[in-house]
Amino acid sequence: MIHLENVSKSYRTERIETLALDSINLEVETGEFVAIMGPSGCGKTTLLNLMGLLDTPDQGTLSLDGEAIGKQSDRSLSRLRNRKVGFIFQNFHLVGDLSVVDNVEIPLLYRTLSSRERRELAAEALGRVGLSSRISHLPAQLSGGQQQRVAVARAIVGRPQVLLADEPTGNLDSQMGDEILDLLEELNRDGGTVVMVTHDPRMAERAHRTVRLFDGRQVQ
Amino acid sequence: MILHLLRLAWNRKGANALVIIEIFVAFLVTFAVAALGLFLWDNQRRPLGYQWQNVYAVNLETGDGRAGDDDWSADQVETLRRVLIEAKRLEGVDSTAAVLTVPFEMGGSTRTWENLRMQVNEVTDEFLEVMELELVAGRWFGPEDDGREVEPIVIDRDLARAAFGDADPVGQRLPGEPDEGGHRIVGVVNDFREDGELSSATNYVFERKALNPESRLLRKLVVRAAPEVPPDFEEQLITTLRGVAPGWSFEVRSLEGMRRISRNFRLAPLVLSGVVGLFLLSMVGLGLIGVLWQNVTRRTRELGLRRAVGADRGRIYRQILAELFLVTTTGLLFGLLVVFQLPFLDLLGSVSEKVFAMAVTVSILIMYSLTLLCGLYPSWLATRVAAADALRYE
Ligand SMILES: Nc1ncnc2c1ncn2[C@@H]1O[C@H](COP(=O)(O)OP(=O)(O)OP(=O)(O)O)[C@@H](O)[C@H]1O
Ligand SMILES: [Mg+2]
Repeated sequence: MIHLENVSKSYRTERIETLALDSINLEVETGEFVAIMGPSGCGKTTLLNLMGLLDTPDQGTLSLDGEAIGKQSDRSLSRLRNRKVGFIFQNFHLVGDLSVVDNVEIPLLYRTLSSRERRELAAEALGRVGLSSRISHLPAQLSGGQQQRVAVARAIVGRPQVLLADEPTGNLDSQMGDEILDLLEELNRDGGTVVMVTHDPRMAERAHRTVRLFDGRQVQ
Repeated sequence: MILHLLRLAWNRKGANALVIIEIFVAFLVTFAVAALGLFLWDNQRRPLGYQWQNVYAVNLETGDGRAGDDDWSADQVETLRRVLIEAKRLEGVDSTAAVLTVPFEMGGSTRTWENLRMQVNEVTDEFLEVMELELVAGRWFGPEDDGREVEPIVIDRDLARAAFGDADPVGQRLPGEPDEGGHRIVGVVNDFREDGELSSATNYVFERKALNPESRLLRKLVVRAAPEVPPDFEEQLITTLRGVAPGWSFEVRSLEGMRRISRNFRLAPLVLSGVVGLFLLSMVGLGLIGVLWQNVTRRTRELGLRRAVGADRGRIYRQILAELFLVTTTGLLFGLLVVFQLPFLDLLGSVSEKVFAMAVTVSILIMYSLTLLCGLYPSWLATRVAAADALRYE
């Protein structure tokens, strides 16, 4: 599903150049649940951003669902993200001025769907994460765990093949974290490919395999 | 998408209120300036009704201490008649007439009969020639009217339309005239706008003034000169007039100069309000850029998220502009609510409905262009938000 070959990425600021990823080779199979671990600053988020087409590698090749990612236009990259990838972030990144259901609908705005179809799909996704009763709440009126569940609903509403989760439980207590992980496992069982960055070995254990990074390099 | 943006704008009404108020105020000011400008422009396009070129106005003082609208003495009538004749004899002079009010002079006399407001002038027979009036129906008055019981009057087309509609006014009396008046309309001239091209259409009546001791004093003359007159023409004219009436004093002004003064007087408010309006619009514009720019920087996480879930740059750009469009439209709707009180409360005055509609349209267009212009940079800025950076940190 996701294929990285010799992928490197560095960030240049005025004074220093940071090599965030150094010759990464990685294959994530369809239906796999992969955990990525490593110390802070080792390049986990950078790797996830590359897989999710939020950023492009400096070197190496990357393909997603069999499609080589090269110099596509902004439009076709956006379209690929919209169709194939769902993101879950540590900070949820919900839009505070929009209701729960409006937040979940956002990815569908960039497809050609009627507002009724959007509503139905969003309600269905919220049902899957157990938040049917909170549809018209504002994010601030929800607990952290509920907010993250809204974010999961937003990630799955477009039925993407890949879910990319960057420390999805990092801001939650262990019980809420477990709930989120239960959800990810369930989505994975239904055939979704999941890549999750985590600091928590307990969480990583529940993945099929763990990729470890250190200083931008893969360590086995 | 529009519904989504409407809900977003509604939930942000607090943050949007300031922009809405700014647009509301800017719209009202723009409308006022546009209405004034279009009012003057619309007036300018209408026929003036006379030719002011090469015409001179002469103010005369009889110098006997008699002021106001006293009757003439027989001597004075004779002097005035000779003044008119001698002035006409001067080389370069085509025609002369005595009048109550000279065009472009501020003021003049008006009266209202049965809700019909009209400006009234009293003129001698040659006024038609001096001002090159255009007769559109009936005849002008002349010596043949001497000694008639009914006084002949000539009205302009505006008054004819206002008082008689499509019917022929010639031979009629003005509606509402008190019985003793005994005026009879003998002809209709093209629109006559005493106050110049920028003034609105006015109803106008010319009353014939025969020079006799019973009539009111006319203290002004109009003199039409040939196109090419010597540079000392005005002096020559005064010298000639003094020769006829040594005890009187005369003051000559060209209608061209009087027209310039009257024009400036009418344009000044437009220029002034235009400058104030432009200043205000640019302040609002700059403020708007600031607010929108801040809006974009405050929302980088939301914009980054939208990018991550599939919005391309064009979508982001259009979203910001569409939000601005919604906010602008809201401000304009409030503004229109206020502006449309004017026709409903009958406060338009001499501004026609056409000018009103044009002013509304023009100011709406100006406001949309302004906000679009101010939105271009912030919207572009919004497309530069990189999802990876925007979503990285808290
Ligand atoms: N936009 C950027 N500009 C400059 N340097 C960056 C940028 N993004 C990341 N880096 C650097 O790249 C390296 C990898 O960052 P990354 O965020 O991928 O680490 P991480 O493993 O996700 O860390 P954490 O566990 O703290 O989230 C770090 O040294 C970081 O400082
Ligand atoms: Mg990270």
